[in-house]
Amino acid sequence: MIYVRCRSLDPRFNLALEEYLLSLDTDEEIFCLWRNGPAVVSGRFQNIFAECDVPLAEDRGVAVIRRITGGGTVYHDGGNINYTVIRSKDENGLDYPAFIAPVAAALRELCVPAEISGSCVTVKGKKISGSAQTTVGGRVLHHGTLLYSADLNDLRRFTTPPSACFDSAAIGSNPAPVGNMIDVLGGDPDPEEFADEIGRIVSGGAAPLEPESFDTDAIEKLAEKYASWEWNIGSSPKFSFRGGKDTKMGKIRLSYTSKRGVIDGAEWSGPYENEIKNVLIGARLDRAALRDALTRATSDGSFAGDAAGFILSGK
Amino acid sequence: MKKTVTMPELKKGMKKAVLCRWNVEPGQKVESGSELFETETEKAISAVEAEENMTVLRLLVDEGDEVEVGAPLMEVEM
Amino acid sequence: MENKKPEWLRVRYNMREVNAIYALADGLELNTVCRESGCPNIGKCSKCGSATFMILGKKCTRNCRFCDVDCGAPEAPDPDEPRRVADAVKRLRLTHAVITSVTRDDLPDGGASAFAAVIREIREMTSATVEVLIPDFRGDREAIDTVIRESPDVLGHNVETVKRLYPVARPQAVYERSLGVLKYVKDNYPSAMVKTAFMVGLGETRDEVRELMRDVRETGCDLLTAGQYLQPSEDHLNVVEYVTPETFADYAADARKMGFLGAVCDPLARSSYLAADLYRDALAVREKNGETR
Repeated sequence: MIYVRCRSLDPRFNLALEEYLLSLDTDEEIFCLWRNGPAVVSGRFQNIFAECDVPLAEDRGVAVIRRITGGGTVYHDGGNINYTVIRSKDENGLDYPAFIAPVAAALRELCVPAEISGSCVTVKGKKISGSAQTTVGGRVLHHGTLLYSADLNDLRRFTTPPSACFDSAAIGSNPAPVGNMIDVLGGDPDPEEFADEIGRIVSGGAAPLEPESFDTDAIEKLAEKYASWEWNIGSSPKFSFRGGKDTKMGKIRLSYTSKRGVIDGAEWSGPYENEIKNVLIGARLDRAALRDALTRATSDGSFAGDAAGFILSGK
Repeated sequence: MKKTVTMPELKKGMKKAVLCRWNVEPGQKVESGSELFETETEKAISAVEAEENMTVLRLLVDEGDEVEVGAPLMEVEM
Repeated sequence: MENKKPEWLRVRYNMREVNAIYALADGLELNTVCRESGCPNIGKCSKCGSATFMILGKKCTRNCRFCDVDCGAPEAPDPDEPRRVADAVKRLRLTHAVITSVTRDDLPDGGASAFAAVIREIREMTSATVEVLIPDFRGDREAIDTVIRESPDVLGHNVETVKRLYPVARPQAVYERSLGVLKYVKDNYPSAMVKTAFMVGLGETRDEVRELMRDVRETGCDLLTAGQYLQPSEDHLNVVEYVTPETFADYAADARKMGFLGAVCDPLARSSYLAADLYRDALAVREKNGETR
């Protein structure tokens, strides 16, 4: 087993590291533990605007990134520990529990009564881990979150749909209650040390490799993708938006469709109707770009700022 | 025209079935779609409908008789 | 076989309508799961002019102890079958086509490419929405991807029964793998409706059924059907219980509370039963949920 312990908190670097490890030409199992600074991480195929209040995240300095595996949108902060397992395809095929089992066993050894439930891990009925998989070439990447001492208020805040304006929003009815492992462990949380302990058990005491042991140039190059609008937003699925907002200048009514993160059809009624009419179509779903375009069109920077936020969140 | 209604193959591979209940009697004018009789397959109580309007002439088997698929059950005038 | 069934297990057949469907299928050299599995709803569905086609032959490579489909040496796949299925969908004027298959563990992709071809042909020749009910492809992600790539409107995979009864009822399948299939599909194709079905009356408890439903819901699966297990022959598993319509109604209510977009729970329900209505109603719920959130 190749055990990698990454201490960077940069979500773009870390997702790039994962993708890099997946591309390595080896049959060996790779196990990696890492954490991110505050970040909203959406599934490969999701409309990120429907899953998270993106303008709010940006205001709060929370990174907004799309990962390569499918599934739902999650929130990472320093109290969440991410684990990645990479194995070669085998005849067992899809088997979430088989990929989760070593980590769950390690948690139990660390006095966390972890139980595997489908593709999740629960502790006393609360979900502490979800996971997702993808396969490239003959290699399977499975990764999951582990809530150790995460800020659950922020987790809820940043993974709640901002409005009902988006048509392709995932219906997250009755999401399972989540909890932190520190709730059952008590004491002072030290996520870095806890992660080290998980790694020690899963790897059988092997000395961990750091990212520096690999081709960091290649990883940094890949990290550009995770910092790019083209990947994070530009690979959004088609969606449509319909909503309204009261502003000082009057009520906005907007409906638009978007393909690949660009508005390709829009109807705007309300303030600055004539000025804005021609500005939206072809506009990128990017707050700074929208704000600039709307400011140029209306000469009303304050209105433009509010409107840009509304276009991206419905709020 | 006089015709016989036979025990249908309600399930693939079915060889015989018990005629559990008659829903009609001799002389009765029956509309297409009404239930003629009930049998029981392994899976369900199965009522068989008349495929056309008909008049029942004679019932050839009794309730409770086990009948082979394809065997005549009743004579009708269509 | 002489216990009288409960009166709620009662069906009606108009053999002219049933035979018309058989004739259409036979004429196109197609199989229907309706006929091959001895589905008791065949009278009702024939009346509506609908049938569920079963591709890749009549012989299954597994031997689940609840199923009436023949097991044995599988038939060579027919590359023209997808086109003929689309032809049948066109002739029946189906607005929602449901396609399933026997399990083909002998084929490298488990038959995934045949499903893909059927979806393409139906889309090319008709304007029907397409629902495919797939086997587990032995958990082969690439096989599942092959089907996902064709964007079926509904993608179903049946869990069939509760975890405890897998060794008895479905010895060649794995509970977690079937859940994994549902999750993998929903994760990688979130705009699909993902569907599953299971049987009751095999000896499961109410709590086990609810746990099954929770496990399934956790995968993101949207639609559910549950029906009474009916014993096809003496060689198949015994019916342990005839579950009452009231209990089915409870299961349906539980499903809705758990957030399923639709659930058909009825003694005679099967995975394809009322599939078109279930899909259509679920679309409406999804739209309404979007509006009221």
